[in-house]
Amino acid sequence: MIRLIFVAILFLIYGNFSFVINDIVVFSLINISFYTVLKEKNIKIIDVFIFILSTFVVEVFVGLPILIGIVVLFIPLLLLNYFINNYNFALFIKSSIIFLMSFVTFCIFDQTLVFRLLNLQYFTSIFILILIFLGLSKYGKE
Amino acid sequence: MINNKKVFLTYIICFFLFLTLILFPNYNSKTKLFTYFLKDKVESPFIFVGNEIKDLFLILNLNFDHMNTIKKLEDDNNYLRSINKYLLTLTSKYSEQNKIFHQSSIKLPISVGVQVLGDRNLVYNKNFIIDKGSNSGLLIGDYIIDGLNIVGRVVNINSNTSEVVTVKSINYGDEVFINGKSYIVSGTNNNYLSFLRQKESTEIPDFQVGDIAVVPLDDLILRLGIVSYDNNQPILLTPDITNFENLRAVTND
Repeated sequence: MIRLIFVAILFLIYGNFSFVINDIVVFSLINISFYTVLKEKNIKIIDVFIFILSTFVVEVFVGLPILIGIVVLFIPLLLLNYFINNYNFALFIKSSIIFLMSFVTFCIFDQTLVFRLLNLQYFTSIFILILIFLGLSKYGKE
Repeated sequence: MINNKKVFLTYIICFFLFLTLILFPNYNSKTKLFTYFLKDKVESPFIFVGNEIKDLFLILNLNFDHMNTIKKLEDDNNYLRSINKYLLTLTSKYSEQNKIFHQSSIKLPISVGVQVLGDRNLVYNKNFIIDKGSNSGLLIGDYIIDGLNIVGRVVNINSNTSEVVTVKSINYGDEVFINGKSYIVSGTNNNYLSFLRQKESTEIPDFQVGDIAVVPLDDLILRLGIVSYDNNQPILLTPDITNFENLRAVTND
């Protein structure tokens, strides 16, 4: 239900703010769709519908043929799901896989993003954020 | 892996639906346009509420700030009025001259104002969606203009939304007139259009750098770009599309 609400909110947000927000919206939708298929071993019918809905919204926004997401991505993602969930990876690794896959897909849509990310300011802020995350995860409880 | 028949059944339905949409691209674009129409309708109350809240904050602003702004605006207004008077004089002279030479006053295109829905940054593709469709009298091929500059053409149409291919898109093509001669140009996904030549054509282009390429409609002339050269190849530089606020769709062609 939370994912459905998120998809609806992202659907409404797209196009009403700057292009950076548009990028974040598309990236979030890709993340939701990948997470929905990869989160657990047994996929429910509601997960499939959320996957179809989120990929549909991405397809409409990006200008891809409708339903190409489910047709092309669903079976490879199921295989990856089998691989990830049978090896019982840590949540951190699982999340990283979902993030990296979404990021690669997003970079395919907007290749100029790579050049923007290599911009020193972006790169520095990402680096600082990663260091803060690692620091908090190791020493946060002290 | 999956122990649910429904999932596979859904996948199979989606697969055949996808094939249908691929085989009939018209339905594909109609679905997209309808989704944008739905988005426009659903988000309009939120936008209304957002604007109301924004107005409320503005009202709650200090009166002092407004007084200062009014004072500043009054000064600006006086200055602009003086400029306006000067420009009005010039325009009236130009209109009279135009009337004498062309025996008619300046024609303005019959058009409808349009608003862009969704992405207006042209990041993922060089097309955009507008909030007018066949109900507003738009047809496929109608020009979308900013002033008298061509921004794009309508490629797909629905009852209340349309898809516009911009002059920057590789899918854009048009016949233009430069110095009275016609040429075919095509978009390049960059800020310029390239000239298409017929195979084995030996005709030398009859234009120079700075010539304006125009598209004549019934009784008005729209501008597409300015001739330039890149690596000894003629190109047509298009104006930068940065302002999507005052777009209009020409409906009298």
